[in-house]
Amino acid sequence: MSEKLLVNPIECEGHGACAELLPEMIRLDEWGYPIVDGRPVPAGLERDARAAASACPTLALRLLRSLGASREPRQLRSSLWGRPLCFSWLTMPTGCVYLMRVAFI
Amino acid sequence: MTAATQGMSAEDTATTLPRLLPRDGQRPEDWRAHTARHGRLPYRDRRGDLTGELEAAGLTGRGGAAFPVHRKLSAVLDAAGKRRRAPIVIANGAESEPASEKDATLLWLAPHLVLDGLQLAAEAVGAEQAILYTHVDRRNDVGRRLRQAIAERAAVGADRVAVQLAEAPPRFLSGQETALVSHLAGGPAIPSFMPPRITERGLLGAPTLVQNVETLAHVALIARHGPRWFRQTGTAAEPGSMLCTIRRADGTPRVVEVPLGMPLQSLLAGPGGRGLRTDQAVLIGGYHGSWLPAAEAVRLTLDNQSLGTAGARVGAGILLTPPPDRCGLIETAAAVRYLALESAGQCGPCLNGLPRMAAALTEIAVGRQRAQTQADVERWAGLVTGRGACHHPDGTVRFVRSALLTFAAEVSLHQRGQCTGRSKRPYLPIPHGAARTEEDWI
Repeated sequence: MSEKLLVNPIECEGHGACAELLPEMIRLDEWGYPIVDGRPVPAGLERDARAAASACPTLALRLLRSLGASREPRQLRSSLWGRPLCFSWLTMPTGCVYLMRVAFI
Repeated sequence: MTAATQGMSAEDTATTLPRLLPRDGQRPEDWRAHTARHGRLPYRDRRGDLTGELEAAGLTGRGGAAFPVHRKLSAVLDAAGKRRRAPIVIANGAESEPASEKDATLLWLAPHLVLDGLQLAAEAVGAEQAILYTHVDRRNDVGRRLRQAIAERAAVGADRVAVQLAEAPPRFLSGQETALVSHLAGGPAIPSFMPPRITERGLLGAPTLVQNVETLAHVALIARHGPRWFRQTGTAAEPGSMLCTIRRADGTPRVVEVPLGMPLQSLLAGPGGRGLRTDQAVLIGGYHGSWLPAAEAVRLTLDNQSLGTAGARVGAGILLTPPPDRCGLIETAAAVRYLALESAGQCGPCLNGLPRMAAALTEIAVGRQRAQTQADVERWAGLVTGRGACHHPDGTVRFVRSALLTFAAEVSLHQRGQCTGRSKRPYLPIPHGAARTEEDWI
């Protein structure tokens, strides 16, 4: 199972936390907005990637799980972006999500 | 089938254009003229498969993106089936490229063809709501015509789904699909981030089909004459005809219906092949399109396969040839400034990059460029591409890059303090009034 990073450019306000936590995959442009490479998150960086996504103050950075090539990307995306997941993330304070993630790991 | 359509065999109408616009030029078609020419509205009543016919016809969206029409229809049908939610169909006549006139012209001359297409698309996906989104009030001639057309159809009971008219704000992005959905839901006409796609979850959460008004007019004809008839003009890869807005040196827009694959030479040169100099430049596809030197453009044909070899696209069929006494850099700088002001300002790269690119182009245009100006533009172009929620930054970059390539000789002239532009009168149409408050987006 590999994961990919995706920025919602409308939500992103350029706080830059993601680039601090995951410099291997995210750098900031000259205005402070993240440039994310589209590669799957390499082994060993999953934890940092999850931390970066959780630390985003506007929840603009997402980790998309791709379960192999058997499923169509579009279908997969929409299922991951379904409302229940979005809302539960939005309604929970960021720090709380982050702590839960850490506890999980 | 009425007498009129029986008399008009497929061969007669095959290569005869126009198909969409009235034959006798400028006389708008009312319901009587429309049915006399095209016959009754061919509802399928579950007997036929319009989506399959559209796939066989190879019809693509005529709003600019050239996305296959049947794929959008299937996506909406799938989503409606899975979620048991009736879809909404929207005819998009926002026509926000300032140089384009083809949608307004079509709605003025042949409103019933568009409304037919809207009904057929609604039937094909099982929609219970249909909306025609255009400049109803701002272009009040078009608005009046549409209200009249809808009343005519109501009088004879032609429509099965009621059509609502909705006003498109005069913004460059108001025709972008997600912006359109946001506006119709009562919000500002600004793009939103996908996924979910609007074919799955669009207006008020319903699966939403948005098609350009010209596309729907083609749908209305394919439903009547079939895919083979549609393919009798155009190229094998890009069949059919399309409406183009052509502005030659005098700047007056002319809307013509031409087959895809038509040589640009015959479109750009005036009657008798006169009026186009090889040192002129051609703008293809509007302000999200590309500049090309006329010498290169005349070797190409009007289809994405041919234009793609020069990095250009058909877009919404806009072809402009400014007269030789205008400076392409001054014209481009004004248009890029307009594009920067029309950014919704939601995405950081677009918000920061576009005004900087516009300012740099103005520096080049007025002959005050610094040593690093061009390098800056190229770097910003790279930084904004693909990083917006919509394609506004990408289209703007295509326009800017093509200008710097096509007018490279002019750029070096400007560096030496010279300019070939003798007339200061702006040629490219730029709408007045940038958005200042949120109200301007609603």
